[in-house]
Amino acid sequence: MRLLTHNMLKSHVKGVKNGYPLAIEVVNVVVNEVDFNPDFISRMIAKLEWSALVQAAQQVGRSEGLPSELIPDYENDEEFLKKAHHVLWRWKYKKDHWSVRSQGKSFQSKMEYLTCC
Amino acid sequence: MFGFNVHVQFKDHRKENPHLVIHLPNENCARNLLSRAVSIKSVYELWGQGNNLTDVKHSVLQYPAEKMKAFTTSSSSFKISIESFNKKLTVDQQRELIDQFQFLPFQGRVNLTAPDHVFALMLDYGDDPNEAPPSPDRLFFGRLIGHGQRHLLKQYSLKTRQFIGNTSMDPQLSFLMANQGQVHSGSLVFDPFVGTGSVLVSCSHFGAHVMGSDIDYTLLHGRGRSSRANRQGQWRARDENFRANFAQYGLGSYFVDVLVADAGRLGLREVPLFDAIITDPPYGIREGARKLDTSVDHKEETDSVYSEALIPSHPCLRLVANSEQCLSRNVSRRLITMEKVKEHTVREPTGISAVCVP
Repeated sequence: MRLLTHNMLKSHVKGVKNGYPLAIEVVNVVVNEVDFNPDFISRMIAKLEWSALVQAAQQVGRSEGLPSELIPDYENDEEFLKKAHHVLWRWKYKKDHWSVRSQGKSFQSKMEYLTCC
Repeated sequence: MFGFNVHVQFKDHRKENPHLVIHLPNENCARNLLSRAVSIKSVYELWGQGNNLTDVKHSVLQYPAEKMKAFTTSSSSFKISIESFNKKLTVDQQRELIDQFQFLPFQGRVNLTAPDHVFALMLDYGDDPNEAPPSPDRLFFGRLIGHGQRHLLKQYSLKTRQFIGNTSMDPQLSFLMANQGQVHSGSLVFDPFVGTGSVLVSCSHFGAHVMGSDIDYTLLHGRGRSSRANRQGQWRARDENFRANFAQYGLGSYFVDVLVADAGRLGLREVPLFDAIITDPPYGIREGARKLDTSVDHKEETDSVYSEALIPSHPCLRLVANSEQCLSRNVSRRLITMEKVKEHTVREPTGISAVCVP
């Protein structure tokens, strides 16, 4: 699973009040070399919840160089888009344990996500 | 998608006719059309048409000379080919026909292997190849602009694909679906019933990034029995998996992720995420319906009669197209294209009515 996908997921487990973003505990990380597509990355950033991405990147230990606030005019900042590409797109997290935290309890998410392919 | 309209001349056109006269604003529009179409063999700039050879020659002579001039100069080579439909013509017959067009003001040299411009005389000998009339019903003369994307059907054939399932979508139909969804470079496409990803492969060919979900854990992990006829009952090989399909066509960069999830309870954020949702849902004939929550009865109406009113509707969606594919005498399936016309707000009553129509 890429962080791009993680950013779109929200818990649907009943009784969970704050099911977004899902917490991540990474077991295995795979580098996935894919082409850098600035057009696509900037289109995706517009749809993302930036603070959730920064939080997730911190949890997997890849938040270096990532600004905590989304910078204005990011479409034309190639340096920034490359960083976002690395975080969103290049790393794949394998066999993760996804959980939902709410009211101090930790539920394991009922959703199982295919991560390896 | 490219921002132009195609005006089709339906006058005396029947479904079986191989040729169709259309009006396009310019040549570039034709090239855009050809870059996506899998059901068009070639597009020609029509110089003349008629019901017999004399008519065509007259009609070509009416074609404005200044439009011909760019293609008949002495510096460009040319070739005239004969495209006959439903009848085979001998080389001598073809040469005789080509010689009929000597009146055209060509100044360049003939080059049969790599001509600058290709012209074609198209002859339509009716619908029945066994009883072709001695002379063609309709004739067209035109300049070749380009060929469509029909070669993709062989390139993406399911016969040579790494990983397929029982209901993998035929490449011609999945390319048509991708075109209906107007997917292009930079789009994000989602398929909630992804299966082996046959619809998404076509979308990513056009440059779209793709995501999917399916409830079938074994299928998504590439396990289970093979769907190939010659390997019936055998287990799938280790390299028959989802990613292999994208890797096979060099489309790995467009594949985002696949979720193992119930399409009814995906767990996605409630904001607009995707540019298109393209799917072939299980309608319970070739693949049964499965749900996480099994307490709900799934009822199928197998003998209902189709009518427009049965199409599910939603206030935010506008029906754009409804195309039918006949599967057998009394079963057909439909490709429904809908366009989102306004944003969905949760409070609005939706009035969705979904009915299964086989």
